[in-house]
Amino acid sequence: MNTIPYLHRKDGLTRYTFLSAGRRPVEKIVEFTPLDFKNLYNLGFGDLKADGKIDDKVNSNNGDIIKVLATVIHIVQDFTETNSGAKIAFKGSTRERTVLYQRIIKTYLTTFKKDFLITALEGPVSQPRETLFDPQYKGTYLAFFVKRKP
Amino acid sequence: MPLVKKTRSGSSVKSTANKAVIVTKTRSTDKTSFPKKVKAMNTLLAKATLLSQ
Repeated sequence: MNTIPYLHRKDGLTRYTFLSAGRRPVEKIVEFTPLDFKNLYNLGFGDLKADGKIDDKVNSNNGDIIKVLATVIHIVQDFTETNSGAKIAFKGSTRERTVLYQRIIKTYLTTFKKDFLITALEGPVSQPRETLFDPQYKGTYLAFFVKRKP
Repeated sequence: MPLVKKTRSGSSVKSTANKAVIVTKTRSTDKTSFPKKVKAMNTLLAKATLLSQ
């Protein structure tokens, strides 16, 4: 992914914001929250609305998705540089969005693998298991993990 | 006046004059802008077999 990312602002240790300047300005938020597992963080991503609330289901349709995703990846790189050993977990807020994330990881897997170990959570939901991300996997993964290589 | 001490995990330990101790576990959903997503991820991972770190 060679797209130049948007400039981001870091608010505290775990929260980043940036302005998506597509068809209209949309403020985006990326937040890392520690999960109930050591060194595991949830990646939250959404639009920061004018009233201060966050919408993680909205489809901004702002015409700059590649630049937005490049920015999120840049932020993940920054966070994992600062927090060595951190493993990031994420999934889409809808199944369609999870499918989109899976397609993007598959497309850019060669690039991502240079810096990150990419794994995924394979169903069933009642008994999922983490495996290496397989670009040939026919189903839809339940979630994804990225961890910076040492 | 109770003494409140924060542990490294963010839990609060409250000591009172009669030595009673109350421990309140801080959940990961307490300090996030995405409480529903964090809760859902914790629930999903609780059932999962994860690769060793």
